[in-house]
Amino acid sequence: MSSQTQTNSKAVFDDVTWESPLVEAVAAYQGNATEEAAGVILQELPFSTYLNIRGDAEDSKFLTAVKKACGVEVPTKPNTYNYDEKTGHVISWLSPDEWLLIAPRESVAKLEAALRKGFGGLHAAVTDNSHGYTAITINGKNARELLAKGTPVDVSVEHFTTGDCAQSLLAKTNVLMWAETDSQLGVVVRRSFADYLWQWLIHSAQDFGVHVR
Amino acid sequence: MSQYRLPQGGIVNRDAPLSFQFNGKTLSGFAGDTLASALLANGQHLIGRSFKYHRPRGIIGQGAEDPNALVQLGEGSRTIPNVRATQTELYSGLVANSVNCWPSVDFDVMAVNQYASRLLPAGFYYKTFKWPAKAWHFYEERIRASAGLGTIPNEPDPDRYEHVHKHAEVMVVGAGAAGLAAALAASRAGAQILLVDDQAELGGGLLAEQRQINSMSAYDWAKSVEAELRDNPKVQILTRSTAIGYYDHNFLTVVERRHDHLSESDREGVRERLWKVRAREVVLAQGAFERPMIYGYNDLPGTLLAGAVETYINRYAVKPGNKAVLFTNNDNAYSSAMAMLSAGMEVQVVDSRADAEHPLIAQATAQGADVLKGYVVTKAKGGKHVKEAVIQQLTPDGRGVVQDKQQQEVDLIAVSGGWNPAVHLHSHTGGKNRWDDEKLCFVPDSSPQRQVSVGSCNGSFDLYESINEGFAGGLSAAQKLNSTATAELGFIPAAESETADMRVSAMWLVPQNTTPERSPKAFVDYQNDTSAADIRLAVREGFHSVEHVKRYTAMGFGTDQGKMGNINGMAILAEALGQSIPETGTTTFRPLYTPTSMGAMAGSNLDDLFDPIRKTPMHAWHTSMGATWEDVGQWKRAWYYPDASEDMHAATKRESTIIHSNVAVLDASTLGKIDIQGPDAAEFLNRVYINGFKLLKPGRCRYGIMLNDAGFIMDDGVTTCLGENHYLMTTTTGGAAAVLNHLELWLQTEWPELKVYLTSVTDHWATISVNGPDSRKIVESLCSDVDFDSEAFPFMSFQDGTVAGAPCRIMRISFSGELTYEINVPAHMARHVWSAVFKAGEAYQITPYGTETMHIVRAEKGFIIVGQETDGSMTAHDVGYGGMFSSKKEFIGKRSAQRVHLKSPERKQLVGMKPVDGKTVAMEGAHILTNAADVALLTSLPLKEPIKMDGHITSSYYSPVMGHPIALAVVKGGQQRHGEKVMVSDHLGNVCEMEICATTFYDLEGAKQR
Repeated sequence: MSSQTQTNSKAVFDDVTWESPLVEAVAAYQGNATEEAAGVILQELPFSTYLNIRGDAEDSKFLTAVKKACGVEVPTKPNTYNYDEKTGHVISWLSPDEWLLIAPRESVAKLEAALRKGFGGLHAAVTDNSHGYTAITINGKNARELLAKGTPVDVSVEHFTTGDCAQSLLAKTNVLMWAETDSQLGVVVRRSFADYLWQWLIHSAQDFGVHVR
Repeated sequence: MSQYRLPQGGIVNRDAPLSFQFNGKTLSGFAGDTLASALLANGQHLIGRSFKYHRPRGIIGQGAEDPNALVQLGEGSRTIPNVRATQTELYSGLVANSVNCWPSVDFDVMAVNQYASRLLPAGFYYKTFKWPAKAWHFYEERIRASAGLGTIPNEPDPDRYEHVHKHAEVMVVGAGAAGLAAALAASRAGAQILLVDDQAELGGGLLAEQRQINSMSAYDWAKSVEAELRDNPKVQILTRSTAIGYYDHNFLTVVERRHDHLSESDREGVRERLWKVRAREVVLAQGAFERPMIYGYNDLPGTLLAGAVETYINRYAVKPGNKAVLFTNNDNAYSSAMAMLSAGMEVQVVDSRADAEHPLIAQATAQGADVLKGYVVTKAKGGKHVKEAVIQQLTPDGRGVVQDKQQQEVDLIAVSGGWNPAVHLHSHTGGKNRWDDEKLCFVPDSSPQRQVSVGSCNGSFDLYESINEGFAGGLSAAQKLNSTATAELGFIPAAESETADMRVSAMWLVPQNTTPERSPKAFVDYQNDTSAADIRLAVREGFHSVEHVKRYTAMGFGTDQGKMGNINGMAILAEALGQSIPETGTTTFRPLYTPTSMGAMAGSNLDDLFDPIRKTPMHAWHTSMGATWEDVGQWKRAWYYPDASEDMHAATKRESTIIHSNVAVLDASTLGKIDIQGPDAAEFLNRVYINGFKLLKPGRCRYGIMLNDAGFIMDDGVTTCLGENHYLMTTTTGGAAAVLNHLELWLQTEWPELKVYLTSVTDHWATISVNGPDSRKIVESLCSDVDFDSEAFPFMSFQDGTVAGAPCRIMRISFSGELTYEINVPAHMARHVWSAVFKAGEAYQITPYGTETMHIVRAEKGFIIVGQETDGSMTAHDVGYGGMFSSKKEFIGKRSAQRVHLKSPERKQLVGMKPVDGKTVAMEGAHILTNAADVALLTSLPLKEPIKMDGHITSSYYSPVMGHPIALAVVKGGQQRHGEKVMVSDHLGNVCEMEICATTFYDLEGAKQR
């Protein structure tokens, strides 16, 4: 696969132009503060691979198959994710029989095929939803305060820490939130809601000083 | 220095004088004043006029309980009506005006109402404006014009608001003695705490307290507790924040006022923040409200609650008068007497209890108070301020008064009718209250929440008892979260108590020499002018329930919600009914606790953030093409694309013509798409659709209809077999979420044995629907790895292929009736493919079309739209799709759909319609008359009885390709009535004659789409 240099929300891969759902929004407004001064730094992470995985968490064959195909242990503890630094693969718990694998864009076909092959005769499923989502990182000293304006989930440092994820409302749209560090968080949002959520984040972060990276 | 500001004392900042305006007059006060204390310091008691009689009203309380001290605050777009002066912090440049008076508060024209008050009893409007019924519209307009207090701003609110979620282990509401002690205990026990208080400074009643706590002044003790709490990072303190609602599962709402206390030029950021708090444990320490005394003209300015007088003196260093009568039925009020004496006032105490005895009484007497025991104030005299108190002795049984009267010249009557615990929040979630016969008040009883009430809101009115109870409550809350937690208060408050065992005797309505009806008006609800006589009148007229009496007399309907006088009113009601107070009960305490701005409710949910706007990948392209928008669910869909000169009719005529002649493109990305996988996927589809799916081969597509379990059409769409055990279902745009929920519900609760997984892929795929005779040429030119020959790629099948370099799924399905290739493309690549399609189509005059043209061309083919042709009461038989019913399988709604009447040929059935004149476009929703002759009745309105109708028009358009209007309609027995002419009438009275016909108008054989 030949990939060209990627501008953040618009890029050409294999002669096809990709546009993220935030292609206009990110270009239109860079924030009201410098990166150093901002309480919140927003950045879109476009064009990742998103594979929805379904299966039986109590079936070791299923768990092994996923681990083998993508190199990450399937999290069975609710609202947690596992991350593999080497591959950049993340698996988030979504429900007792549902997970979301996030991976670099290039690996989609390989991962999907590996998972299907690994599942063999198991009752398990993999669905490519890569173009149905985008991710936004929300960093900075006020990142958690910003999320608290829109979600009923307790996103305090004590209750939402590294390795935690949660699905809930943020403003008026469903998201998958994750915590990386005390001041580094992020959300996965459905493509069609992404612009709405971005506008809400920008609006709600004004008083903290917001910078778009 | 005004004559009412004491030379020393108080906690106002005398180094920070502030100037403000009241009714155009410039006055001054200090930082730390409320508007009320600053007005009193300037000798200004008269604040406004009452709601009904326009009687003069003055400051009576010190906080949320005050029904009187309402002002119009601020000017222009930021003006706020009916703000309580007692809760308004003074700031430099504050502008306040009286409400409900014209031309001025001193001379109010409508005050004439009070002289007619005997003619305006409770229920006056109901009784008077009943006849004739027709005239109510006339009356209502005038009554409404004279009603209301302040005025709302007539410009948009310029301020910003926001909502914030907060989680707390222990939430403490109120930072008076009990609340501070509770927070202290929970803090020392290691809990994470949210403490909220509605004032600027923590302390509550301690800010006016003269006694000592732990060998320091109460104020210093409050400050020391605050310092300790602020030192603990696990404690968050919100001041100027009112807990307004308490809901199930310990969910509370709090409004934080962030800059109303600042001069307008200093205000920055959001004005108010609505906190949505979820707490594990809640400690309520809201305090208590003092009750008034109900005697003649007890509403005159210069009448204040005794506790408020004490607060104005001790906290604000303002004496509300010079010569006072203190009228009480309890021991507690004697501390107010002593505060007045220490401020240099003369005090005559009138105590209704002949046998009153308490150390406080002795103390007050020693300090110079004259005490009359067994006496009552029966009447106040004065015009716009009290001038005289009329004092009479109670008869030995306490039920009447002796004839002899003493007249006492006064400029202040301080009243104390006992105290009511603020049980409001406790009651919001269904907490019960219990009548305490000794304390003479309702106190909190059981609560369904993990919650405890402490201090005076629990009926523990003694200061030291409050501290003990608060500390114990805070500790027990912390221990519920961590059973090994401990905390020590470090001193014993009870040892210092000299004020315990305070008593109160009932004095709900002061007896008079005459009956209440013939006595001077004794007000219970000062804001709504509800008097004791009004409550008795309501009882005589048959209103016995406290809730009915409330609504008949308006008692407790004001902005104060009866916080001051309601319990007196209920006691008066109980007496009139000859029953006890607990038997009578209270009205319901509901959120919100105090009036709250609309802005705080709205937060940032305004304009484009009011509701999510869902956008397709082509949204910006549609915008650049000047598309108009149709809202479909939360989606914005392009409606039509007018040229500069076009209206909708012209644009859709152009768009729909070119579909049939050349090629046109629709953004169909919004359709719901559900990926279905698993060995039982085909069986699952068989159970949710009326038609069979087991034989659908990989590569093929099939239209399906889904019923709900009542047998009515729920949704429709095309499902494609992608491979073995793998399907893609499409749903209507608006129905997508509901359909997925419906499918998951059945899968998870009814058919858990089916091995099927459902995943929404609506957002992953964008759909570019290329329609028209030239569509194949365009798609073919962009795609070299698919054989477009109709043998290899027939109608109702799909092919994976590369379009303009992008991996796509091309489907030959059609909602236009034309040859159609629906290119499904991974959404990030959709703009790329969309642009490529338009470039490739230039030679064919390729045109975008929107949902309006989509509607026209599908109606030409008789394709239904679920939700337009169907309304939740239509069956598959009704829309002519009964032939799709599979008899070989069970499916949702099958049994229901087979009920005899659901198959009746008399039901409303879908038909086509065309106007007999060939020109008239009927209105959607227009009715089809059963008897054409009834058209004559339409001209003789009003109708004596409804005209019989056979159905209505569901869709109606001008069809350019047909050259005449077409319509779809549902008509009783319509499938057997093709060719019949009927009369159609809309709600504007337009009538046209139409002919019933088949639903398909264009390309009857369906050759074009194949």
